[in-house]
Amino acid sequence: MDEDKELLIRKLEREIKARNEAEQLLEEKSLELYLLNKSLEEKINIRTSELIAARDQAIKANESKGHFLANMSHEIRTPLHGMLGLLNLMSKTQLNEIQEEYTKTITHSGRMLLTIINEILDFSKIDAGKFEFEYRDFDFRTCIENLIDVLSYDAYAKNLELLLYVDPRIPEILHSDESRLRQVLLNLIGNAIKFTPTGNININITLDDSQSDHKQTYIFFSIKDTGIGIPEDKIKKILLPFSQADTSDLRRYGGTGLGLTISKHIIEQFSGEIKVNSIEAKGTEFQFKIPFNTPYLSKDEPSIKDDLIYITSQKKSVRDNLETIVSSWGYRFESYKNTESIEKKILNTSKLNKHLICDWELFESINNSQSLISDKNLNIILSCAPADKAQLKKKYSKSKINLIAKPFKQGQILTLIENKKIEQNKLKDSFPTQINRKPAQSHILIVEDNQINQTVAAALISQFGYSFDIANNGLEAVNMFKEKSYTLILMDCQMPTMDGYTATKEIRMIESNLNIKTATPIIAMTANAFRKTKEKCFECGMNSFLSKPFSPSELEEVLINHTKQIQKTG
Amino acid sequence: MKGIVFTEFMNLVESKFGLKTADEIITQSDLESKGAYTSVGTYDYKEMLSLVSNLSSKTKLAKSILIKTFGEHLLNFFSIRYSNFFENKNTFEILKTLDNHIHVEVKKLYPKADLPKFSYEQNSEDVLTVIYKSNKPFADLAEGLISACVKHFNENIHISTEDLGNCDGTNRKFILTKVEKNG
Repeated sequence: MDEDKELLIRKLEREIKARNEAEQLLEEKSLELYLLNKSLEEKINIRTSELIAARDQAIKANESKGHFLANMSHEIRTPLHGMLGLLNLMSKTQLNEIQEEYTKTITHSGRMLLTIINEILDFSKIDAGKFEFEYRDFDFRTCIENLIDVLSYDAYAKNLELLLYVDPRIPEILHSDESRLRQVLLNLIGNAIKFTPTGNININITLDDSQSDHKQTYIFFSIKDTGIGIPEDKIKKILLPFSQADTSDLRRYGGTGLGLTISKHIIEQFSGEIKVNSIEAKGTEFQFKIPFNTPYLSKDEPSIKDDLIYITSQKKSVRDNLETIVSSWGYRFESYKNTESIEKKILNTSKLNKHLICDWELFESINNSQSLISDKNLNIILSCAPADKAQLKKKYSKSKINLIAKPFKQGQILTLIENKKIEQNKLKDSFPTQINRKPAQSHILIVEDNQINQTVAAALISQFGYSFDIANNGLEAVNMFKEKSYTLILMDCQMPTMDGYTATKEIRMIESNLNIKTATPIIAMTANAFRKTKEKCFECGMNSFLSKPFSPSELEEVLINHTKQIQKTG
Repeated sequence: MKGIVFTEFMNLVESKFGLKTADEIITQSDLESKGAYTSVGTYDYKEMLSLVSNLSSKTKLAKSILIKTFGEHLLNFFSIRYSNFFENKNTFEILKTLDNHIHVEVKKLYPKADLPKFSYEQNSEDVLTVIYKSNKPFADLAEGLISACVKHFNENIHISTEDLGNCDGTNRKFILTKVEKNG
């Protein structure tokens, strides 16, 4: 019994000792854990500080990138503006044939360079997350027809047909970023022209009425060519940066390989998706559909008109395009591929309202075209390549014949069909050949530090019929403004001594102090085309904005708008 | 050697041979720890050798048998305490993960643990060779663990052994061969 008791006591003592040891171990482990936790917290604090420093560095680098882009945009565009401006002025002087040819070539190269630089800057902006969009209401058909005209010279110089169809159900005014949409279409259609040796480029713009509703209008774009096509294994790569289907294409056709990537980015920002189908040696089609934040109101089908339209062209593609256009407006038509016996058909028709749409060369081949011209019920609309229009205008100016430059624009054709003969000078040309304005008592102040740009601006202003003074920087401009009143001020933004923003603020303050009721319009001229720059211009009191390099017509439009406003209020 | 080995050993001795025998072998072993073992502690492996030696003298059972039996007991204890390691496995899989998984996890909890090394070789689906190597003479313990593992998974595996090195229980080869069950 005692032995058992002693045994139990010894066991108990061992267990107490073991328990104490376990408790001590536990305390040691707790301390170890506490120290580890403390060390972990210190490490976390260090890592957090490092992350914050890295983040701040990244933000700074991004800001530097933004500044770099802005500076590069300015530094590159400024001399280009001078170059293209002077070339434009030179083209208006007396040049011999060779000089004219050289001027055209240099201008073409300069414009190509501008396109390439714009693409590189745009790509850099996309990469830096600074590619901006500006949404506003714009006239959709005018936008499309203007850009088609820009491209038409290149297309018809290669004997390609540009065939445009815009669904008449699409609302006239749409809400979107017009310049970005233009950029996409100029790229896609420009590429189609570039990569098509013969044939046509069909541009079909249609409404998707299954998706369009009271909130949004969905529009489907298709650009289809009969060009060299893209090999199947290269189709996916074509939308990646710096990729044409073949590197030899880059050398043969030129370009940065960035245009499609930029277009894809823009379409995706518009909530669309670009698709491409192609067969080598047959052609390529690019398609995309995008929503516009404009309500769609369904229209009634156009009523069937009593008129009859005769369509004549040797090319099926041209006939198809015209048939689609006229039928979409409710007109009945007859379509012919040659003029054999067309004269008899037209003359024998009793219709009161007859129209003939025909290539001018095909019309000239009709034996007795004079009898058609004499038919009082026949409206003759002849088409020609854009480069031939100036010359042919003289030929047909005294007859009842209407002459239009291709590509066919629906609005233009409709106007001619409804109004029959329209005086040639009332039919709007895309490129006015003469600038003929002489506004009275308009004196402009040109504020520009770059001498070449001073020369360009001064020459254009004179051509438009204005008188002018030149200031080399903002401070000079302010001092000159104190001495003399001006109809309008063209203000460069980045100048030494005093920049355009500060000068504008000073001028506005002078006007306020002198109680001048009508503020002098100040138009910003800048090679930096960022939205923040535009906002800064408006914030400091400028009225409008011209992005260098700007064309003579853009400058003219701004001058007319603002001097007209002055005349109205003055 | 981790305390859990000692506490489980003493539990086994108490249950098989009684409290008195357990007390006697502690007293006779002249232990630095005085036999006060906690499972979370760490003790000199020589204490285990001393305890086993004294138990062998007392029970007249060979040390190797005692250690092997303890190994079997230990495996059963592990299969209950750490059942997740044994789920959806078999003998070969457990043995192959001893060194590169089980002992790795042990080291995370007890960085200073001095564990034996197990390496293996498998040239066919039915034969696995496991080599035990340690600075402590507990190859019999390993053998007990392996036998119990086979029984735990109810497999028909024949185990043959070969002492390597100094044949002092620090280095032993185990060849496990799956035997087809006769119907």
